[in-house]
Amino acid sequence: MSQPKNNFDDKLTQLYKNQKSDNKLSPQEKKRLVTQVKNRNKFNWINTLQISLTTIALFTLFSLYFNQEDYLNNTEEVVYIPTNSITEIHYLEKNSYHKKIKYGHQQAKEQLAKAQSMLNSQKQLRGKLINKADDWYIESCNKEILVQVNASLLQQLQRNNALDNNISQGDLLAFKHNDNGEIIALMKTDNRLQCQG
Amino acid sequence: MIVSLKEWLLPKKDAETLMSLYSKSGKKELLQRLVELHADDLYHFLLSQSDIELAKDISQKTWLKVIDKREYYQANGSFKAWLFTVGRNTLLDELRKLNRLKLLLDEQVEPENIQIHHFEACEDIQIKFKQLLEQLPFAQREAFVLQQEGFSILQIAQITQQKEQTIKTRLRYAKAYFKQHIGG
Repeated sequence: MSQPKNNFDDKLTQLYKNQKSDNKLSPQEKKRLVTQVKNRNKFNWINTLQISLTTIALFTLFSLYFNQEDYLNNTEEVVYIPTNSITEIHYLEKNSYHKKIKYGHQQAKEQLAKAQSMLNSQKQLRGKLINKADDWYIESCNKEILVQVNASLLQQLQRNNALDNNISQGDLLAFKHNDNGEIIALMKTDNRLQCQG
Repeated sequence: MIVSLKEWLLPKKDAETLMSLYSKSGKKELLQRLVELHADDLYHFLLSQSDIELAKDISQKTWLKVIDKREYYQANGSFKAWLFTVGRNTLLDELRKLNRLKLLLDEQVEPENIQIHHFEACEDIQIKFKQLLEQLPFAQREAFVLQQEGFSILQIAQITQQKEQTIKTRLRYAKAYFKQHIGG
């Protein structure tokens, strides 16, 4: 019973073998399958090298960036915070090298002079007239400056027509300075809101 | 004398031993011997399920996977079965990408229902066999070719991730189909 079946199976097997023998890879194609190992290893080696170089490059870049940040911060400290320090100024003039040294107190003096100059440049200040122990004072609106005005100055201002006649205690006054910080005029002003604000 | 000396120097080893050695050492010579043993078998299996271009491409990809995943090879199994499993999975992935996987859906076609397209009346039984094999449904052709490659029902079931009963049915249908056309 099973004999014909076996014969048919053998027939199929033989047909399959013949079919297979007609469809093989060439020796070159087989060789290529093996040589891809070499290429694969080469690729991995190149890959590893590339990754390593990229890592080193990134590390160097970040190091440079952060060092530069530190450098800039340090420079800022030297230049902008001169208290109790020395500022050295290096420069070239007519092809010769110059170096200037500025000490902290010298810089503080310069800053004070600048501040005073700015204060003097304010031509007009406002304040209230107040009387304390028979002396007259003008208290600035922000109450930081108290200016004592003595009789001789008032007489001088009156002579110069630079003093309002009907000034009384509590009045809001506007007073003008010259460049030397001397009071040159005292005027009564109605704008009380300016001082309150 | 020379042949026996060569055999003494290079004793014949089965694929499993070669693969075990290759998985440990990665030596190119061992891979070369594995390729000599099974590259044609794998290529023919892939060719029967696709076309020349795709079969060559998948062959290459499969051997690359053998190289890359050699550490995962388990020495207690058949190397050829492992190679065919890797090859088959790679082929299915590729077919999925190419939207050609619908071919797999026709797996349970009975022999009398197989539509034979432009079947040429050919006296040459070898050409007839080739045409019949090409027109066999994907899953039946797969089971048939794997059996012709020497795999047992259990191994075919493992390679294709199907039940043994399903494989038996596919083989029965495939053989009935061949018998119907070239059984005489």
